[in-house]
Amino acid sequence: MIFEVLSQPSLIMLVMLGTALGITVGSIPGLTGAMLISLTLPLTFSMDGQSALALLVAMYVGSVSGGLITATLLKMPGTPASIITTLDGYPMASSGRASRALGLGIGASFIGGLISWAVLALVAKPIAEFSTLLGPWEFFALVVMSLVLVVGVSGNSLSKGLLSCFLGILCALPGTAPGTGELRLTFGFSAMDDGLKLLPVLIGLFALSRVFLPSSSKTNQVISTKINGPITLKLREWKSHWLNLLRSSAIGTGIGILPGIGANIGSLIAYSTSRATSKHPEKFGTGCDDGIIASESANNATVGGALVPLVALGIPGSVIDAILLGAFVIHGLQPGPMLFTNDPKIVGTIISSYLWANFAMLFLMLLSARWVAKLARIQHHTLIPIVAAFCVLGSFALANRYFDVWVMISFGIAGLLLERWRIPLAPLVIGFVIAPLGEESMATGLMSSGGSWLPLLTRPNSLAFLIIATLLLFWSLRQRNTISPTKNSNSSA
Amino acid sequence: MFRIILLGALFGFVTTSCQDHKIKPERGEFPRKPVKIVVPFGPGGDSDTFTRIIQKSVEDHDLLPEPLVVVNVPGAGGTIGSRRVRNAPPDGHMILNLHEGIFTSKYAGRVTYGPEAFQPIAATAESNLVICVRNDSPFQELNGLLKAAAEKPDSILFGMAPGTPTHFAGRRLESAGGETKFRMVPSGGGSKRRHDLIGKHIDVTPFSLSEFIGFKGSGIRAIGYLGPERHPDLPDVSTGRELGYNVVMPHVHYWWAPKSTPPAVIEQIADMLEAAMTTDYVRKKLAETKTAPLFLRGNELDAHLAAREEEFQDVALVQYQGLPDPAVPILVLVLGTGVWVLVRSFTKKEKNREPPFDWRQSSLTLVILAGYLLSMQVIDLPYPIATMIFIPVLAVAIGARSPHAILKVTGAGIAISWGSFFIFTKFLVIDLP
Repeated sequence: MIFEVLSQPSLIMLVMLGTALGITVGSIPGLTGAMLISLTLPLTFSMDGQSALALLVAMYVGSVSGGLITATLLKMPGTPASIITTLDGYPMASSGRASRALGLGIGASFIGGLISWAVLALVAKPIAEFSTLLGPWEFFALVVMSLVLVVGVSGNSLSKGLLSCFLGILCALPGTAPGTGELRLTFGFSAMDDGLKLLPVLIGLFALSRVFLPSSSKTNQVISTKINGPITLKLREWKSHWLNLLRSSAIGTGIGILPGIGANIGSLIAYSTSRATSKHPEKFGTGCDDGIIASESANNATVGGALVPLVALGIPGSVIDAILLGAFVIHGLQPGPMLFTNDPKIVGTIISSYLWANFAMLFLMLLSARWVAKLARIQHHTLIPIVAAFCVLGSFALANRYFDVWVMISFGIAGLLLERWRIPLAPLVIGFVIAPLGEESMATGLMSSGGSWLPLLTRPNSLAFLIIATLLLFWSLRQRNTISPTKNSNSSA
Repeated sequence: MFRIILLGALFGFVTTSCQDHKIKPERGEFPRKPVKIVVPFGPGGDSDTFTRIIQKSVEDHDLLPEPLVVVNVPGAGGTIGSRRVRNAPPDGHMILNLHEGIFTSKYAGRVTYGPEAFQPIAATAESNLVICVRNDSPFQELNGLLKAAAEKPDSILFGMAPGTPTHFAGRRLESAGGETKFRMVPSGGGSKRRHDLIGKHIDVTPFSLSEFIGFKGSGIRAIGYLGPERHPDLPDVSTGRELGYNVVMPHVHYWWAPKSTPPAVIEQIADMLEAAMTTDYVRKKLAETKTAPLFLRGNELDAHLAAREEEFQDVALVQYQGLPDPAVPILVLVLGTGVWVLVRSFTKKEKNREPPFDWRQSSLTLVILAGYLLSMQVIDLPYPIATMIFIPVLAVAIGARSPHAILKVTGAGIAISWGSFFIFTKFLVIDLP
């Protein structure tokens, strides 16, 4: 769990490379981690599963962290994950304490990552072992719970979240039905026999949609602050923040475990909790330490949390997890509770590369913060054609067919329109990824019960999941009213 | 900046000249270019692993003058890949490795064609299924299981993956046992079935021998072996035949060429496979997975295939009744919530309207992108050339105006197009357009 990565020099290199690329992409506004990872996935086809996952997990960590640099220095969050960091990071930086703001942010990210790593390492295996108790009905209930949650939390309108989720499920339907093995909704095209593949859909939604986005405004007004003096982390100072660090990391990890909720919501909730429990709530938003620490430790902690259901049950905890799930399938690894017994090496690699990617992140960010801030100014028209070329290459390489490329382009347009209409993408992606699991479990359950739905309610575990789903739905609907909805438009870390 | 362009151009020149040397002029001869083996499943699976073992031994022993390339075309139970080979030119440069999936997808009704749509080349490597139960199960042998299934029909949960040999094995056991009926549960692949078996969500399920050996010690045991005779690794497990049930369900890798491939080419590929099967490397790898080194070609192969087709023909796969089809409800839900969103957006004005959107630029991007794709798909423009043109064109379209910027993007385009072409075709061995 700790040393898998260190045992092979090539894995260490990949973790470093992945983290560096993640930080780079994370700090460029408009490029997201989801985009980087879905474009990198085709390049990993020739690697073994272990190397591929080490690289992708490191990218995940890097991309969640990288955004804080531009958020602090330029008031331009590189990714949605660090939107909240702008609230206190930028005021502190603009008042001449930029290196302190960066130091706090980077340190908090690191500690948040470590705490959630500990949770991941301790909790994933027991959950996977407990999972033989989970039959088809329980998995079906888990899928329902995930969907309810992701709809409840993302975006600021219930109707749009629901629409997005149902659209995702609809996109998962064409092809071979998991229960019966029959073809459906292929409209006579044999290319549709396998349905829409995950990779073209993701590349379209997250990468190509950016290509279609006109360059106009965004990067024009950049307000820059200078870094003064070295970025340092003084151990003494951290002592006074331990409670905030622990609380925010715990919130981040917990939010991460809940399926489909991204890092931005984790940091938002941690930030508002910190403000609510602080003795000086009025200082929040003016450049106070606690704000930066709460936001940054929580958004990094969501990564470890999100990996828990992915590794233990094969259910994605975030949008990027959904892509990692695709990576499992492409590399011939079967996601699910069986992963621990079938491929213990893979599990170990994921968990240990998460740990070392956090170290790499700390190291790289401290070294390169000055330089990374300049990346935000790369010109749109240099970047976009290259991204477009990689979109085409990546979706073609998946199965060597043009059909996937056209699917990718259609979803690129769809992604643009959905974003335009403020329909959140997270429910669509999560729905698309776990609908087949849900339908398969439903078919298996119905066939083993002889067509009766009753076991869904009579089996204690599945009933428990359904009850939790209902409670969480009400909780999230209540939260929606208390947390200001303007802070999160889309959740894609 | 010029340096980058120069470098890109040089790179391109070198890679194309490499290509040119490889193409041999003689027409009609085999092989005159790399031979592609289509594996209709993803990398890492059993078919992929086996094909790559054969490929390695062919390369190591120089059994083919041209490279042998494995192309994964996964999807829809192997039918997307098999369809591609069926439609390929019948010259032996694209062949298919597909196991009994070729029968099952036909008889499960997924595709209209079966083995008759191909020219069989050879059958290689054989393994058989093991019927397993949990350790605490009351069943010791197949006859006990089948008797129980006859006494209380539709009560024993039989885990399988729909439309695969595990499904057919269950059906054939039922018909061998007389008036028996299992309740078929579509659990899925091997490790999923093990999970469900241990968790008591199913009562009995078949595994391949290598799967079973891997799962040993996790609380399951074998009660029957569906091979022609007992397996040396499982001396205590009786076969179905010994107990009077003539159910043998082998798993064999078959090699197929498109229909009307010249017999001489078929012979040549069969020779290559036969030689590869006798190498120490292949033998060792097969022994590791408890697979028998079967090799059949010519008349033997035809007889074998005819016999296997009968196995699958006899079995009627029950169509599932009562499974809800989610397509219609989901469509209704999408339309319903869509209308809801529309109504809300009309009744409630959103506060922060974004600035008007420049649709012209997005449409232009789309047109350029479509042109790029069609130039490769329809006009067959080579990938690096199309990409080299596409990148600067798109850059100009979305706002690169100064000569310096255009030059920079052109350089990047040349480097990226030739670079990725080189990496993908030489290192990753992935087909590019």
